[in-house]
Amino acid sequence: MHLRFRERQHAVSAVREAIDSYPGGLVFSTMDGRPILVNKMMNDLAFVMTGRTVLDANDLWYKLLRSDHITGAVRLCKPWFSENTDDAISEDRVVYEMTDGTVWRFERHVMDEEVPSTVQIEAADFTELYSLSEKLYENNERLSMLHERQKNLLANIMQINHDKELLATKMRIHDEFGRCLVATKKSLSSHTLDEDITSLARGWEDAIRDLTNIPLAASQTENSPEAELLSVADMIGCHIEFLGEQPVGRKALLMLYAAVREALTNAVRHAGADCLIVSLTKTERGCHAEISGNGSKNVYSVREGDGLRNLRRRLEQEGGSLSIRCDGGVVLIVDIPDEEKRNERE
Amino acid sequence: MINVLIVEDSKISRENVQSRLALSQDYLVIASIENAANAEIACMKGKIDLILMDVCTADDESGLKAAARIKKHYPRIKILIMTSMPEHSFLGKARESGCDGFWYKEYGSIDLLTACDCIMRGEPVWPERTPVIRVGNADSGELTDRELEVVRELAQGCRYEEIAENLGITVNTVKYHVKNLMQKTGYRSTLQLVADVVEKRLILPKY
Repeated sequence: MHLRFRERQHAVSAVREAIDSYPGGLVFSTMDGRPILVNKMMNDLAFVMTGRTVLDANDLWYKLLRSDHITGAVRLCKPWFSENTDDAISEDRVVYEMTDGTVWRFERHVMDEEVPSTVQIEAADFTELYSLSEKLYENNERLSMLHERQKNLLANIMQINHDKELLATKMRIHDEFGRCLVATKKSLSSHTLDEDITSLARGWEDAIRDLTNIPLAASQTENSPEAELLSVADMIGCHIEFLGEQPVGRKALLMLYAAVREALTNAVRHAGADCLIVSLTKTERGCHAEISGNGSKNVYSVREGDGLRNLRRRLEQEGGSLSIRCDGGVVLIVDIPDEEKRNERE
Repeated sequence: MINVLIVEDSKISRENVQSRLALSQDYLVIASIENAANAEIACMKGKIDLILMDVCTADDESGLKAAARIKKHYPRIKILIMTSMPEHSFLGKARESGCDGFWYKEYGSIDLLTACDCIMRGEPVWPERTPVIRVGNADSGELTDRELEVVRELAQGCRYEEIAENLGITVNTVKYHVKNLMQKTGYRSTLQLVADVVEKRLILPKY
């Protein structure tokens, strides 16, 4: 009897020793909070945070959740926890920073879920992981910012490049002008003006013609996509007529002209049209267009080629749509969202 | 007489091309347009023999894409691509599109009129390579095609995972290429690298 008692005492001591040597805090309790087994680390943590060791595991957990009776530590609720599912803050997980700078994660598990009888609260040293998570979050934030800057920079650089190209042309004209001056001076000083006069005159004419283009380029107004489209349509003997009001925003306009271009190509190529009617009506979101030609009326089906497919993709990417009606003639029906119109309304 | 269509969005460059062609009696400029998307329409009635096509045209329309469409429907029409951009992929894309020649506005060793004459005689005009420009500590020729593809993806704001998916390689391979790019150019961030290649027009993602 004495031997069995000693053996049991020995086993209890072994369990306690093992659980005390566990690097984290650990407490097992009944469902109503009575501690069954608490290790030294958990008692130390509870003492630092609440001023007492673990007497009631439920009471400790509610204090950890509410954090209003915790004096020796600060609860951490940083944004990156919610982004990472493994570290997400929940009703069963809280994170505290102690006064010594260490960070601890407390987790509560109900054991034997079928017949709940025991609750485990575990505290794990989270200091290194917390610090790495913080750095990762900061780096990701920085990376997002850099991506945004990169995109903005790209948009600006395209314009800068265009300006640089214009400047390069101006410089080339400047060089031509300089060459003419040098050549003329040389002819004058070597008294060969009579012989060189033809080539010099041609050089000067070219330079002056190019020079007169500079003010034109500088005062160049915004291109009119409509004028150019009408002009190329005229070139192939097809007249385009717009009925109704065109969209306000440039993006919507360009999508409309892309659709007209596609309809024009098909109407002339496949139906021999020489007139294209674009009927436009305003809608809640932007513009509804029906585009039809006056060509052959014997078309009852249309096979969607690359052109129509690309147009459909482009429209759908911007929230628009494309459909085709074949009732003898072909009508291209497009709905185009107009950002500008929406902005005006807002 | 050779009927020419000029597709060029810069007015000054357009006038410049027109004045060069005016030096020859063989060429007649029948239209000058700014938007490459309209070029295919202009070709429909068979009036055009030669197109001088800029790559970056009005409203961000690509001259290379337009050229590919035109060559598909009207293979008879000769197309000379002209650009001032040392973009590394333009030359390859122009060849794939079936264009007849390529002329660098700023770097070309051949005159525009000579290039047009060659093309109309059926002699293709292709520069040997893209002009070499300096990217950080490296010449653009030192960067591999794959590395330039990675930079192109970076310039479009893609993350490593997206680049890996788009190029069909692993994220580690993307990182390997980025590391090599950094070593070659001496830049400390991809932002610096992207800013430099786009500023120098070695990469133009829209085209």
